[in-house]
Amino acid sequence: MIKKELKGIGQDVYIETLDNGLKIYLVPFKNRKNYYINYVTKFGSINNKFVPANKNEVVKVPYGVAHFLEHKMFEQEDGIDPFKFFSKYGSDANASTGYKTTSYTVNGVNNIEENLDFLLTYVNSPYFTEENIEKEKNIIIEEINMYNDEPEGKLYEKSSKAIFKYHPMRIDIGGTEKSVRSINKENLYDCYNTFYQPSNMSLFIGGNFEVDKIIKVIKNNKALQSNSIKEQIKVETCKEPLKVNSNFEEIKIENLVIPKLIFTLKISLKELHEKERFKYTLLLNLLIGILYGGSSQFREQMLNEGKMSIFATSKAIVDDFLILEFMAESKVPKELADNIKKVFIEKEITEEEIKRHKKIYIANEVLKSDQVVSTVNMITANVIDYNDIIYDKIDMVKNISIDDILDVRKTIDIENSSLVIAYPKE
Amino acid sequence: MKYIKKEMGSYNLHMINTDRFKTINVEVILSNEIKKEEITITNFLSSILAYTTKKYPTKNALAIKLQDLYSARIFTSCYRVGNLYNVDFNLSMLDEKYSEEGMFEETLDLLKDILFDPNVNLQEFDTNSFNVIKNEEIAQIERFKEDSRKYSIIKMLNLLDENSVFAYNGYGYMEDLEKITPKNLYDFYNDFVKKSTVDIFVVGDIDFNKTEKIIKEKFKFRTLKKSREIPLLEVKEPRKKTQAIFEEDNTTQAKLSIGCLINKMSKFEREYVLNIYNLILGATADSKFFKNIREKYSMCYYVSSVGNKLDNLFIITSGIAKENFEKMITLINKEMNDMIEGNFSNEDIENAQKYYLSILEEVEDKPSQIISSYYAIDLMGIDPIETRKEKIMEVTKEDIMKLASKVSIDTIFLLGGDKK
Repeated sequence: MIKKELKGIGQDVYIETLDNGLKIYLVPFKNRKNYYINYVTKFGSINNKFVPANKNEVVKVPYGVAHFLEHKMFEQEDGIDPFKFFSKYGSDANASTGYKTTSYTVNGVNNIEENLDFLLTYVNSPYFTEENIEKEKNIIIEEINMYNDEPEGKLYEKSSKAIFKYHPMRIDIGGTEKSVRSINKENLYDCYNTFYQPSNMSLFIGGNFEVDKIIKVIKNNKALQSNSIKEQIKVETCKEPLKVNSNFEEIKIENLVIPKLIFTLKISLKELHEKERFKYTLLLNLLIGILYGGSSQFREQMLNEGKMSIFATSKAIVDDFLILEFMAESKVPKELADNIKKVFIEKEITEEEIKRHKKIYIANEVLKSDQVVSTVNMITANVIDYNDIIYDKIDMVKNISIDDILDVRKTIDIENSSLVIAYPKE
Repeated sequence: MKYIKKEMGSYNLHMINTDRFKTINVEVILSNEIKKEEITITNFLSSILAYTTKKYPTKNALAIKLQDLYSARIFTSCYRVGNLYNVDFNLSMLDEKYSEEGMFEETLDLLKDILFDPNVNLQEFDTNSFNVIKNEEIAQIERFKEDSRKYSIIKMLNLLDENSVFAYNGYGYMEDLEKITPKNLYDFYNDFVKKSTVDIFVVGDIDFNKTEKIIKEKFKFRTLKKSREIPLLEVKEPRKKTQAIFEEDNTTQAKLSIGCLINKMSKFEREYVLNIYNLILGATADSKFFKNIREKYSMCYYVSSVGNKLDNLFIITSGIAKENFEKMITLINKEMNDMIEGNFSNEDIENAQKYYLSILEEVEDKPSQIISSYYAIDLMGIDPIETRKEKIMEVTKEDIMKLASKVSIDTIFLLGGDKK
């Protein structure tokens, strides 16, 4: 086990890799009552073509399998209901599926050892039957219907299809009604055996606990010990072009009242290794903060002119792409999108702005580290996106110069973007 | 953790000392009896006060000031508690150990400016800020219709009793918004700071005497402190025959909202039994609704309940296929009847009690929860946390059955599910 420090924040992290390949990250907090466990597999909705463990041929599984599998992990052969178990210990269990990962979480204040032991047990004990799979389909279809009724959901779906030409990112995490209906037991076991092997998973724990006791619980867990598959995972990656699929799309949406838009840049990270990718996104964060953040001229001007009522930016790394997204609500969506572009190309950046935004970045890192859940989530995101925790973030920020930021700006082709506008249906 | 409450003449100052956090959190709560026609203008006022001030008259200027204060955050929020409508001014900043000396006072000065020195010229709010906030308020009222789940609940409450304060729409009303001008907004502001009941909370690694002195010097409210009453709504008689109302909407899933009235709860029922009843019936993934209606019958993805102790209301929501409506109501009725008849185990009660206890323990991990917990003790006269931990364990099966028999379905509303 090694101990490292998140520099400038005063928080220690303990890291251990078990023989079976499971990586463990422990973040003990002094002075807290609660704890938060996040057990993560690098398996999400986009991992749909692969060679299953113990098989030789590539299979293509139906869309939505990762999410379906997440639901079915709560089914146990001995009939113990995980929700009942956790409730007995006064804690909260949950799970979620993303494009790249599936997470199983437990939040609580007492009995961390029992709860952790049980989490490891049930996530390492699949029990899929034709019957329990059929029963789940209606529940998941109602979940899909729920999201489909949200106007923004349709806008996001259209936007994914405008950005990606072939990539499974085009399809919603939950899949479609048709794909969900077609999921069978073999699909679930193929995915489970391949992606839920310990070497493809990480365990993150933050909060109130003793490191040694926790390590002992993990090492002694029988279900985890018996999950012994250790095979190289062969995933067929999608040959997605850098060019966006479509530059402009319009859509009319039921129940939408005010037009909304998503403007997305598709940026290649291909030439960069993990730490460089972090540096790149860090610089981009500062750039976006300066150009479009709370104190930007863009925001003030657009609000003063009544051109928008919601504005948000977000980023995601998908394979070798960085997807930078601007989402807004606006009665003049085309004009707003033009302004976003214009600011990106033309707006001058000052030393004073950079200095202030560096200060904000550091303050925000300290603020994030003040809560157990946000600290664990930050570390998890680092490990998923960059394969490691970035310990020296704050030093890196301090050393950034105006030229670094201007250089990043130059690398981005603003025309390799897609604009999708949603209008109300008459 | 140490708590102290000081009477400051025109307001109450609550200070909580704890070394758990890297932040200092301050919350100023201005509270008034709710009036339907004042919801919109109160929302408007709370937004414009946090948007610009006399000293920082543009959005840019104020945002830059906050960033210079090590990314301090100030935001306002409006919400209803029983028959009160509250405006919170929330401030969160880094403890000076993580920023620099003097930041605590400097950040409080900004909060003081927001409250007492608004961006006003010649007795009117600044036109530019006014127009920006007006656009945002219009968008907020319009956007409400985009969320069919929220719409379904508010519509159901209106069908239950459109005159009750629980049916008021917290997003505001367009007809009230149109009446607001920079001038009458300023008049409203002047009244508002005079007539509100004010509480100030400070949480963090603070020195009580020093903090009291600073707050006293900066926050000079001229309000009259009124005696405090629990903001309970009147108990309403449920209609003799449950009403079921459908509204067409082009959604795939129908959004079900059920409003139940709770008849005359005792204090013990309101504070304790209702929590346990709700946890067993529908609040968690270990509840009867989840296990039976979702898991056993695969009727839905979500079905959950929430008890509102001040409104004497119990609300159930779900998303279903429209054709399953009858079956769904039968299943919900069965679970509710099971609660009356005692068809639940002692283990269910124990689990619900443990869950409640861990929620109480977690309060201390978040500044905002510490504040709302002490505010609730002060406002509603509920028991201190340690007493609550004991009393929740006193809830018996008979208590739960008795409360269950006081809960009756009044209104069922089903929105949409008509898309082919």
